Amino acid sequence: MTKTIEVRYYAQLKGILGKSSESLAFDLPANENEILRQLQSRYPEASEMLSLSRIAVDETYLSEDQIISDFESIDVITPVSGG
Amino acid sequence: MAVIKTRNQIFPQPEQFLVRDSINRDILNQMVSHPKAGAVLLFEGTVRNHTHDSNQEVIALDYEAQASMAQKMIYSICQDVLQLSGIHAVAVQHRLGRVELGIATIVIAVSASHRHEAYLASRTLIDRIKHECPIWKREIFRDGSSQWSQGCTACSATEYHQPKQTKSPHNLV
Repeated sequence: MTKTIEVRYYAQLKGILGKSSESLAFDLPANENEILRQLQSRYPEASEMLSLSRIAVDETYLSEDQIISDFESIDVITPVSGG
Repeated sequence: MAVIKTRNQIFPQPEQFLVRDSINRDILNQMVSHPKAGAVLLFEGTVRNHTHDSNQEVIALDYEAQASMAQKMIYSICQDVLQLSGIHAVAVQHRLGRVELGIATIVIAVSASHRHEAYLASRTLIDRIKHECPIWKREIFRDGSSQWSQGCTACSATEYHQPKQTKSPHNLV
């Protein structure tokens, strides 16, 4: 199943991609690594940054083996540096 | 019979965890005052003039966040810390946008029955907020250039690049 999802980018990744959000089609269901691989194949120039990133769906981090199919948004969270 | 006063123990409201204006540390300190507290501890993170990995002079930091997610996560971390022994109230504010040299980027106030509980709670809050919350800082240098920070300097590069990590690598809790 392919579903179009709103994807948001931040910080360094936003700079590499030159955009903060877009609607993208994903093959679902998928786990975190599969979502990241789909993004990497679309954006090879951001492959390394994506490999360090986490995926949040509907504003919650995915756990490592969680498989998801029904959600509205993806936030791509590159390594954080708050504080 | 004495009336036990029930009150919110997490301050301020979550939509005020992330702020674009300067943080008033005195207000946060007052927010956590509690009759059971024998210790009130204030932590303030500030903009320093150097990075850990470059010789360039830092003049400011610029923060960005996935704000609604960060607010929810800070609240959840505060809830966890309130479960620690002897903790009565916690308050957190973190800056967004540009913050100049020497100015506070985050202030954390905790009240506890005893000092060691306050220190543990404060350190747990700052470590977890740094490692888990979707907040990013860009270092702005004297020569006008800038770079996104490579994360927590207390962690080794190996620990830091564990993208699936959700717990503090400092293993404080």
